[in-house]
Amino acid sequence: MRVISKTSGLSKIVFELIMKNNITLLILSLSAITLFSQDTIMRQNTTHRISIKSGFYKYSTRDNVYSPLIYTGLSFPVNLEYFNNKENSNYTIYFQYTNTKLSSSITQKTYDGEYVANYFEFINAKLEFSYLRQYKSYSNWDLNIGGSWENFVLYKNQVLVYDNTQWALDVFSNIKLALNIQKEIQGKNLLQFKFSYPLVSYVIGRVYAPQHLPEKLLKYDNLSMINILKSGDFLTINNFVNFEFNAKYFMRLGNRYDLYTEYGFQYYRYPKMNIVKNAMHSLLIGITLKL
Amino acid sequence: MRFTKYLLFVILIISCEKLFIEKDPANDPESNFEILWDTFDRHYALFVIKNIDWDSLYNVYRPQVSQNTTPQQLYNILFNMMLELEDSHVDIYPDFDAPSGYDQLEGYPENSPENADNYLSNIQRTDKFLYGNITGSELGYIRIFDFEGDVNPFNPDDENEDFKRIDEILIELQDKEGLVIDVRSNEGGNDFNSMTVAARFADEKQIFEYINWRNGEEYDDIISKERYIEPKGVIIYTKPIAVLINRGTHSAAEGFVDMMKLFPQVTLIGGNTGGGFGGGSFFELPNGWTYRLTTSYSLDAEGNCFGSIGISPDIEVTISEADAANEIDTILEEAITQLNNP
Repeated sequence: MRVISKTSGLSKIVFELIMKNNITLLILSLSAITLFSQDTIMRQNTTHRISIKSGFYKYSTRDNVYSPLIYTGLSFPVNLEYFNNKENSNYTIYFQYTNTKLSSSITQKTYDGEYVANYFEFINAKLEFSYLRQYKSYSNWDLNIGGSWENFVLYKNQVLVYDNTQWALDVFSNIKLALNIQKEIQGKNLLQFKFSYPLVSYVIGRVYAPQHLPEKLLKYDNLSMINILKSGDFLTINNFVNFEFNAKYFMRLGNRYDLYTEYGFQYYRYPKMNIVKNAMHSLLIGITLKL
Repeated sequence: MRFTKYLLFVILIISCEKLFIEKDPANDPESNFEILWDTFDRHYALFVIKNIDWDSLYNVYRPQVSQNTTPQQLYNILFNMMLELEDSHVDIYPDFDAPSGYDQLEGYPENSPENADNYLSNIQRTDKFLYGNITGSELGYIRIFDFEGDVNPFNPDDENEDFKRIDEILIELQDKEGLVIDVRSNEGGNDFNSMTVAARFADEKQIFEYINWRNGEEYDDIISKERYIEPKGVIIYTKPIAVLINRGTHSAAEGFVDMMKLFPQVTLIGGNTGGGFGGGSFFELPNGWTYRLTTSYSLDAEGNCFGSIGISPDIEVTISEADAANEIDTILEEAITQLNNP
């Protein structure tokens, strides 16, 4: 795959990412929404919404196991969200997928910007279910409190000189406390802030040596998926940091469609032999269809 | 106005990233030295086995570095410090041409397999193997060039196709009264591929090594795991075998020798192997240089570590310069003698 140079124009970045990464998924998703919407019935007191979003992710990571340097990169994600809003509660199913390459101050490139060595390949996917209940309402502000179940996978492949590579995984599943504050604006638009933080996490891939192999996997003779899943640790609020914040603004376009923008920030510290720090900013725009 | 507030809030959050992920360390000679020394201090697995006082090396080399040290000087200082470990899995790759690390071949006879083809007929090649008959005998010959090649780590049964071709070769050579397996100057690769080949000669399931990882701040923080070799393949060849080794037999190729020496039908002939019994991990410096250090090492089934020294042959043979000049492979000739007179 052609890689993006830091000096490339924004349009070039968008074009290449669209063309080479996620365009198929985007088209399929839009088609699915369109087909689905033809058979749905508007319901009173209950709102079903399905959203497709895209935009930019900016990753920053410092994986001290392998490098003292910060690696950063942009990607063009595809996110899908199903949202069911009832009178006093709502639940959401959220999926994101993206892949990209991250560079640092020492990344070696060809003249046309293709990465050669000292870069990371990232593949990131997340599936999250959340359930929130209305806790308090004041003026136009609503406070919702609940929980979410986040499943997160980040595959990192570090490419070094002479085609040497090293890979690592950050994989975790969280039960999170979630807080949502929202305000209706001018009776039609909606501003929403959401915070979440894990209470209990199941964390896989906690290496204690700069090798690919988590220590707990050593008791198994092979790296089957079931053995990998069994090799995790339960961590509590004290020893696993995974902070997430989202701000969304919905603008009603009509009875069935909303246009919305979203800014998101997620930061986690992955507890390995050396702490891995990962931050993700997202700036997304999407269309929401009320079913 | 609301949008302005919203925008300001977002900008505030974005700027918070700096609170969570600190800046890159300084890119100057002293910082680069400190980072490299500290990474070895935290991750290098062989300090205890090799009885190395890493702090004393700091005291020797750190004063040689200052803010005025040139890249070439810094490279020389780091290179010399790393050379003290006498470890072929320790190396450094600066952004200019320079030797990368310890040369395990220095001071040892070459014992090259370059003249072995003179003794062969019906020679055939694959990507990883050269094989044929040893002329005038009932013996077969297999040379393994290297053990490079990807293996699916999630399914070790999914063997690399290049190395699975050993089955086809053994079908062709199964009627031979003995085999010479030549891993001289085989620099290694992936040890799963070593296991793929060795499994075709295994007589039973047994431990062949204990792999040890450094897993903590202390030099003796080590975790260990035993690894097994067991029979696998279309044909298990159990007739006499001579495995030819030299100082260029290195890393995963030494793992192969480590397995083969467990089997009763095997005799090792040649010179000591390279002594690269470890696994390396790569790291980076702020100046863009990459370096590697040993983060794991292996002990054989009896708990011996062959780091630096290498595995010794059962029968030591050296090819003299005169023999090499006359295209005589003394090591292969000794193997033929041994296999013809079991």
